[in-house]
Amino acid sequence: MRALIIEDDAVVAAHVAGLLVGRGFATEIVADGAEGLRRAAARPHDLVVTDRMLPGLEGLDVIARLRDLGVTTPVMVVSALGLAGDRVDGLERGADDYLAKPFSDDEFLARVHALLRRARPEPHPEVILVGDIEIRVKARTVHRSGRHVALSPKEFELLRCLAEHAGRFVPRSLLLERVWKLRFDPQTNVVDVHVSRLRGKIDEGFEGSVIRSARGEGYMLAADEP
Amino acid sequence: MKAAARALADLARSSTLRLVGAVAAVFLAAVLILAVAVWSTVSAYIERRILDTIRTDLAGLEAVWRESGEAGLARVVERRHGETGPEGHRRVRLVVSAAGDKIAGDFAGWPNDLPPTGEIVRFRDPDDGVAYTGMVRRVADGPDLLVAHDRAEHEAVMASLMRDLAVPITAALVIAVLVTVAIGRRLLERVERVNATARAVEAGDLGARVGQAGDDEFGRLARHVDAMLDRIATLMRGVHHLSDQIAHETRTPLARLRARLERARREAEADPTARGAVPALDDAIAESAELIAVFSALLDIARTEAAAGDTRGLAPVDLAEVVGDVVDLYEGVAEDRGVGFAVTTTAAVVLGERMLLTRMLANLVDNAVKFSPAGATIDVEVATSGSEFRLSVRDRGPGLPEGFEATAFERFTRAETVAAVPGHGLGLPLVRAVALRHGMKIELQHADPGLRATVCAPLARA
Repeated sequence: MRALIIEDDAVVAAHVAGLLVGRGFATEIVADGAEGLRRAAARPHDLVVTDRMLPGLEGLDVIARLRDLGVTTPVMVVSALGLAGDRVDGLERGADDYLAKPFSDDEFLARVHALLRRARPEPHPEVILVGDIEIRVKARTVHRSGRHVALSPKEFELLRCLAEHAGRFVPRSLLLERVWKLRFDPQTNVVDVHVSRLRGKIDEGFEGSVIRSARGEGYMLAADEP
Repeated sequence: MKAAARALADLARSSTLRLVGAVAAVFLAAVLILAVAVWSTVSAYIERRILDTIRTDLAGLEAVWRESGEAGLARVVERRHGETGPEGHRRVRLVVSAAGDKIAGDFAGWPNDLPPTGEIVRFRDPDDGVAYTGMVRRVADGPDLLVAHDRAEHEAVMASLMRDLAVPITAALVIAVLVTVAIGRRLLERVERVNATARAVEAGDLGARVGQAGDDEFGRLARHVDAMLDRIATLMRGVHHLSDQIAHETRTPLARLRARLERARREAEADPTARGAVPALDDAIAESAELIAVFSALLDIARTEAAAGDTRGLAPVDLAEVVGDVVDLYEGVAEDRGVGFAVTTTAAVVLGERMLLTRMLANLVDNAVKFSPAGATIDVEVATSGSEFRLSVRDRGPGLPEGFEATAFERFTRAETVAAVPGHGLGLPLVRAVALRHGMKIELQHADPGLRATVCAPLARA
């Protein structure tokens, strides 16, 4: 997999590249917007990560021109301009995701994973299997080891989002965005309460929890047996 | 009815209209003075004309006497008996001999014992009381002659004259009133445009301009106001640009700090000899996350405030749905603390940024949950009255210390009584920024026990 990183801050660019290399990407870094556009258009990439305030050409203009050229590569904007309006601008002009700087590594990787997953041409699976958990997406039912687990609609979405990233760390902000459509972090950790309820239901009768919390920043659905 | 009364009251308060009204009143007074002058001049003129007619009549009668003597004069007077003026008023004559005997005429003797003075006389007919104005002439060696006209003739001529004048005078008055109103409205309109612009800017639309042409004082006022607004806009752009720059310049080092800490943590975790550093690095990451959160909240507040009145990107949002989302989000947390929600909503569609409105309510509900004692209920209500909505969150916590309502919205302000509850004092400032951005009013009131936060504004027009 190939990723193009358009970022004029060398430290951040190298950090992002390091994270992507860790996920099996071959990375390419450019610091100039116009040069980034040229490279992105010249050969196919699996992912483009771009800043907004760039020398040469603004990040959103790079995306708009790429889309005009018919390039459909998933693009993630990573910018210091992090207000809701900025995100809306970014998404409207063709970005696939918009992450405000500074971000945590886990959040960045979870979002990259989600982006690639969405970009895959095959249809989303009807049934998601994680260990002994079986999630039927259309019927909206969950079984663990064959036993039906009754979940509220939000708990179902929560489990589904965790399952789509099974074995990976999903930050709270991504859960808030996918499950509650919220683009901000409430002061109280409301997500924790919802996760603990989900745990109570899904782990009932089992030892330990299939959902692990990591460093107080997010959650992971263990891909293997706990 | 009420609206009309209010409009009238508004008009009465307008000094432009008062000024124009005063000009109109002076004009009307001038017209009245002119009318009185015309009246008295015309009246005197008519009087003179009547007396001239009488003098001519007397001279004629005297000439008849000289030519044909008393008998001829008597014949002429008898013939003219019952003669009337142009308006059908009586004209009377009397010829009395030097000895005082009636020779001919309309009276038996001098009416009301008029002395034959040769002067202008005013008298009443002793029989029917009709008032007359006349003249007496003493012909040397001859009879005394009296010719008099019914005084009503004078008034009748005046009245007929005034009837003819009524139409043009009324027309002049109507035109004066219409022109006054038209000028007044035009002046009001021009002043109102400046006012409307100022109101729009006050409401947050910094792009509003008067755009009024003309080289008069209104045009100049408009140009000055516009120039002032341009200057403010330039300054605001500078502030925005600066805050964007600060955002960029500060967030990037923060992003690096965070990236380096995360890498250090990964490396420490992988290296068995350095594993002892992991908890300290976790703390450092948590601190940096806190720093970033405070910094982001400040930027969000500043940029949300700066977007006040900018209607771009606003869409209809049903507050009842926002309440549903937020209560759904917080229900679990509240339940864990033994706090319940009592939700009363009605559909209330406003123009807004859904995410910001959700965040505003989430902050209010977050506070309410944090400060509620176990077992308490939080009331969340959306109500509409007329074209206004009211969104309120009421808790049963300790409330605010006396006099804290005003400062509660300042950044980093926290009441001493809540020092034990975590927070940075940026929740309510953001609430106010969101309210401001949507042109909504926010108020905190003591609810005994607890606190009620109320947001209100006009509903979106359907």
